[in-house]
Amino acid sequence: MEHRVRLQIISVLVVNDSYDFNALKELLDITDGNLATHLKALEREKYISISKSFVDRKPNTRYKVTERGRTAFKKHLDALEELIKQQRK
Amino acid sequence: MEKNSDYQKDIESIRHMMEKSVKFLSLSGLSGILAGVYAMIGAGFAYSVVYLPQTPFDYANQSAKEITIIIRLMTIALAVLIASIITGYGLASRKASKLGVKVWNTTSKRLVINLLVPLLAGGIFLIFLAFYGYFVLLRLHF
Repeated sequence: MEHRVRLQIISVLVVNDSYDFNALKELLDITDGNLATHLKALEREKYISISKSFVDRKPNTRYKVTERGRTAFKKHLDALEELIKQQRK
Repeated sequence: MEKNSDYQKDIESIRHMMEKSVKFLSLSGLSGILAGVYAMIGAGFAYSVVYLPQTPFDYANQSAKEITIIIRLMTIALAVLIASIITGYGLASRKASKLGVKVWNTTSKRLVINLLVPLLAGGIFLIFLAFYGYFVLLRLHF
């Protein structure tokens, strides 16, 4: 989860019930392919779950963070905090 | 090896994404319903002020342009406004504290700003109408 974009994706998913692909893309201001790559990586690690459906006959893909993803995120934030504190000394 | 400023930027961007992605609005729907109720009660009072004779000795209702009537109507309007604002803020802060969020966040600020503009425009328009005596139109707006 070291990538800044992956951190951003997870942070969006921890404060919202779910988020769809296009909303994420707009929010993060990255390309389709870029976003898809990161999402695939996160899904492979089982940090997020995907649910695909149709809205108005258009495909709609929604993402949720998993418990595993939440824990990993928190650990990552703690680690970042530690690192910052260390470097301040 | 990332520098300290990079870690800072990571945390900044995380916080930024969290705030930007959430559309939490502290304003509760109940306060809107109550505002409408207050407005109807106020309208009832306004009606009695203008249309009902004030004393048993009046044989006709007073003209709506008299200054006492106008002052009474303005007080009713002001009371409705104050009651609505207090209710709105009170319910919003209760809802926000229950969920552990601030009442004043980016979403509510945006809401107030976007509402204030047409609200003020409408209010000024109505005041102009009142000034020129067009009370019939005023009543329709109420």
